[in-house]
Amino acid sequence: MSGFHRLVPVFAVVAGLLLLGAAACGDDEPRSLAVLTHDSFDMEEELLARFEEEHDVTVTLIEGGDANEIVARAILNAGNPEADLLFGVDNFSYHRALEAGVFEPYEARRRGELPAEFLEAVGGTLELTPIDYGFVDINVDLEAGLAELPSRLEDLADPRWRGALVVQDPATSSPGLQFLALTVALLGEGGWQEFWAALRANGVRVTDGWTAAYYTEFTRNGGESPLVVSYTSSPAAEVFFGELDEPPTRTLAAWPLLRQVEAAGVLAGAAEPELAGAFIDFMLSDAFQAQIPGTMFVYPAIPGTSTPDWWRWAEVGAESAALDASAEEIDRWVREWTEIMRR
Amino acid sequence: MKPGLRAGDGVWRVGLPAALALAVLIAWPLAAVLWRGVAPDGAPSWEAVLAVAGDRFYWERLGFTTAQALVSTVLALAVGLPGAALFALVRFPGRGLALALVTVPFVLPTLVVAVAFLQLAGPQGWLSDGLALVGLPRLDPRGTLWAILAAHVFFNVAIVVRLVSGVWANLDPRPEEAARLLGAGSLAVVRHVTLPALGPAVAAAAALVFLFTFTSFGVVLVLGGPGLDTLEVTIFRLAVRLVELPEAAILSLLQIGATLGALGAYAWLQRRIAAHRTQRPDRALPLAALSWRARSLAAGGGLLLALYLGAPLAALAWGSLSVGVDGPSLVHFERLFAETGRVSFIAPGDAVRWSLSFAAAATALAVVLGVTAAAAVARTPGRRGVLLDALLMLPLAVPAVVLGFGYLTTFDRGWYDLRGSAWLVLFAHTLVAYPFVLRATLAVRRSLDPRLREAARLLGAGPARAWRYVELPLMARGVLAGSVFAFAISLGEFGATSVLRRREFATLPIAVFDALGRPGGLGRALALSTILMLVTAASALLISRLRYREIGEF
Repeated sequence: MSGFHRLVPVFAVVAGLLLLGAAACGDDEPRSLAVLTHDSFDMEEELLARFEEEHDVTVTLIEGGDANEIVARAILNAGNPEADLLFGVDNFSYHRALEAGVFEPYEARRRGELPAEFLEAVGGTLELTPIDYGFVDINVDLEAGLAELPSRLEDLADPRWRGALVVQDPATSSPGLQFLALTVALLGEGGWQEFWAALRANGVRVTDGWTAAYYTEFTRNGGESPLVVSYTSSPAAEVFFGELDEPPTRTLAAWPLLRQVEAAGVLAGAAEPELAGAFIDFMLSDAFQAQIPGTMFVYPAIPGTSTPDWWRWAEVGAESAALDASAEEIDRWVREWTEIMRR
Repeated sequence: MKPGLRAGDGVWRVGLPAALALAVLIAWPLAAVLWRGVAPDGAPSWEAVLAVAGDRFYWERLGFTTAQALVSTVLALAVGLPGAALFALVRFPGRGLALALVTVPFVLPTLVVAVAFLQLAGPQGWLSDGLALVGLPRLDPRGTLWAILAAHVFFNVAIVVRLVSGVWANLDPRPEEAARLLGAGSLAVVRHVTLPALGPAVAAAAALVFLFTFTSFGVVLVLGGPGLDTLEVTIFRLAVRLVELPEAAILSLLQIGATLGALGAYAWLQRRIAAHRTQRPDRALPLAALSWRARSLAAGGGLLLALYLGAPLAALAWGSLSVGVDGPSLVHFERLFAETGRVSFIAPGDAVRWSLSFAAAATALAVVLGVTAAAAVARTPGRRGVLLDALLMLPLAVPAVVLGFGYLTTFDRGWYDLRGSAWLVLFAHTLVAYPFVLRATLAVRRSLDPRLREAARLLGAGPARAWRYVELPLMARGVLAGSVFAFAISLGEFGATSVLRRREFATLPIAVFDALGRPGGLGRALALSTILMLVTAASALLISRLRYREIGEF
């Protein structure tokens, strides 16, 4: 066994060193602040550097999936969080987080400037501070040559738009869930189930997430569907990235839309709760709010924030619908939707 | 078994690294999260078990998952075995490069491949345009079983080609020559002489393809549709919102049980089909030495394989070049490298470096784990050996989302708080990589003549010495073949480590995923995928040039 006798201690030493190295990473570092956030988080690097310098801290971003996934992560680690604050919980995912007690209250300095309806949308509690908001609506490819556009939600189940629409699975996609919620809000119990069954019969395409819908199914990107569930800022993003004068797509804006409010909260048990609070204030600062459209393609929560010129293509004319549903209700929608669409 | 050559020699010692890794990095986190799921209030909830057992939908998912995996495996063998024959038997110009390119599909992100597939075979794709020209209806494979099967073969055919051709190329050709002299036709020779000798390698490849397609996630999520969900996807849907964790946990156990059952059956079968053959240097013949018929057969088959694997890759590269009315341009690559001044910026150079570092380290660890685990399996006789063999493949059976949640909830305290540690990413890569080394090594080992080892033992070598100086050199080719895959799987790994990812050590697949999730990111994602293809091809080429002294090549 001489060969192995010699090798076993080598493995043991290597394994030991690896573990020591891993453990050492946690110690003796300058103050650090970890932000658990969704995959679409972005901001200007210079601005973050300014915050880091001002507070003598290193900020780590943990991109943990979509709103539902980061809430799931926070719940799994409730009381012993991997981060100090969470950003990206929204009005469709906050209930469960509050029930699990993952946040602690923090009163942001500019809380008073936030519209009451934003605060209400995420429970009206000090545990959550709204940072931005957005809408999901059907985007139309203007170059796809659609003769007519639907004017009511129910029209989408009409043979004239057979196979024209692509949506996202609400179980795995945040815009998908918002669109499902919109159908519930507009069509009511019973109505929405019928509508989805009719949509399925009318050849609606379902993708797992926004990416596949927008990049593979939407005619704008070589797909087959001229109508896609996307954000109301998508036309503006087309202008921005395509360096165009006018968007090649537009939102339908034919019916009221549901506002999605994204919020931040200090995680209970955070190593640096004060710094986490400071970061929330930072997110409500004019400088941060003003760069939200250009980095995350959503709308700043503080009213009157100045926005870039191309952002006018993201203006929303439609009124907003209201819907407050409990976590259990949302779960039921998703379960019933899955029954209707995937079985 | 002869006295003194007892199987069971030092099983525990050689099996220790793999056993430790499995216990700490799979069994513990898995048990923790499954217990949390099955027993949310401290005691198992039988209601959830009954609810799952009584729901026909879940049983249909199990049936569908198994059926599509079996069909995918058969198709991958049907496409891969002729490919393996080509690489094993014919020495053609660019053979090494072609073999490296075959590995590339294996690592590519699913969504990017889906984009390439649609570009080719979608309703607006080139193939459809061609069909429309001659008056035939356009293709629409979206949301069909065909799309899933075609993608499964595309992603996994490399496993068959590489594992089988590696063994085939070194088979002693004399038994075939003898059979032919004795009057056997070429089909009879293949059937009765060649295939039995290739049995272990074919079975190993089939087992891996089955495992990969049984737990298929990305392909099914992106290309599937209603009624086409695998268990892995169903588990993801249930687990990701944490709402139906009990159901997810029970289905995970079902998936693990079914996979271990299939692996056990395979391991049992494997022990019966081992056929020994002396190994020889590369037996491939130059093109010029082939008959006209054999040459045209090789050329035709090679062309078909090249088209099947090459066309989507070409479509992808074409897309990354942003070909518009003004012809190709490098604008996507320029955007990729241009500093955006945003925190979301991932420098492509850094992503390449991290990908290569993780892959190199994970491959090194995987070789240690895989080779020792193979030795342990080979030394364990009977049913225990079968069980051990199946258990060692566990990392490939565990649903990624469940394991990810397990990592978050177990490595979460004090000195073992590894959430967000690059080490944990490396360990996870190692765990999904080493089963390849294990399978490839065992496949070669089983076609070795045991008398070689016995002779060494009789001449006085201890088991370790016999292993080190007789078996290991002879197995080098298997270890090498396994290493190529270990490296590739680490390069392409996304699922198990997506929960552990951090911008600071983002790999190429993670950079692709990140770009795809952002407005205006498709071009960058295609450009990054093209870089990933190049990195993969170059690494595969480089690894197959590695030699264990001069023995790897024989």
